[in-house]
Amino acid sequence: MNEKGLRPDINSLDVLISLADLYVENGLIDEAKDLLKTAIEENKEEIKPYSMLSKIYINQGEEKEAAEVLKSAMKINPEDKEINKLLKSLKLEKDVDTKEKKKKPRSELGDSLDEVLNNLLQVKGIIGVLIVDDIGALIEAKLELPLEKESTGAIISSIFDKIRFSSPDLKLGNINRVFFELPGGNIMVLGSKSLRFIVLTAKNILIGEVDNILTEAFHKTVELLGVE
Amino acid sequence: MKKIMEGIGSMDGVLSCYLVDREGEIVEQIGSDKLDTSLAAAVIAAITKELSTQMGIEDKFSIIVMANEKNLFIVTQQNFILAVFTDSNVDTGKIRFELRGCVKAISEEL
Repeated sequence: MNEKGLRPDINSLDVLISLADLYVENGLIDEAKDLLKTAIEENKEEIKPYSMLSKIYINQGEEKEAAEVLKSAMKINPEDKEINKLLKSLKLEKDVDTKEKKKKPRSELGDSLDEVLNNLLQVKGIIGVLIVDDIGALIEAKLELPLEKESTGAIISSIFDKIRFSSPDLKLGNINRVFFELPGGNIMVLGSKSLRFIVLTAKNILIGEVDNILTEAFHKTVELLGVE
Repeated sequence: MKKIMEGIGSMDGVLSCYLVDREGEIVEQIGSDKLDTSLAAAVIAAITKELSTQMGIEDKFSIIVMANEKNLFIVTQQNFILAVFTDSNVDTGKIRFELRGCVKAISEEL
């Protein structure tokens, strides 16, 4: 409430958090970050804006910034479970980045589907892989996000099919892959006659950097599943 | 509007460029190809509508379709869709970069 106590103060923390949430939902990431920085400035002892800002940084792959925000939050409340959890996940990710990701040659994806998908998830920026058949039924999924696997796979597959079936009208020829750049992250779909290989990535991933390994993983999957 | 689009149209590998409203009506186009342009515009709008509906995303997203004959770049904004057809071996990053500038200029113009 404001000084008069008659109406909500537009700068109140909850309003700022809700607005930042709305910005994120609508893909206005920079605006959300700015708002949360303001919220932190004005509510230095509140953990919530720190937590939300760090999550945005993590989703954007900006780990250094996320770590700084989390460290600041730790100074306020070292016992906060969520902040500790986020910091721990960040450290784990960093360890994987520096130890495993660099050591592992990208061509060695493994000899089983499980290995292929797990190794793909080791690539920085890749946060999920879904394999569905030609009617959108889930074959396999590895997700680092709390998404409903069956429906996510079916939805993405149906959009891919919509594009594929539109190809004759657009005279595109055979579609090799479709890349969706969405407010919350990116999706790449590679498709064969009977398989949809769906890869979810962070927003700031470089397509060129992961294209080869995704193609390799897709072909390996087709081979392992013995499908067309 | 046409002048803005000609920036992309002059790039190597770009075949045609369409400015379409969210209902699938052509607002402006440059370049020529063998497409039924009205049908293509309707199909592009239908694809973006499908994505919006299924994923609950109202505006501002992009789709890149890579195929063996042509590539298609679609940028969706709140009130328009910009679609660019290119050769399949075009430099994807360069096109995306140009598209961003073009979309910004069109938004300001509209």
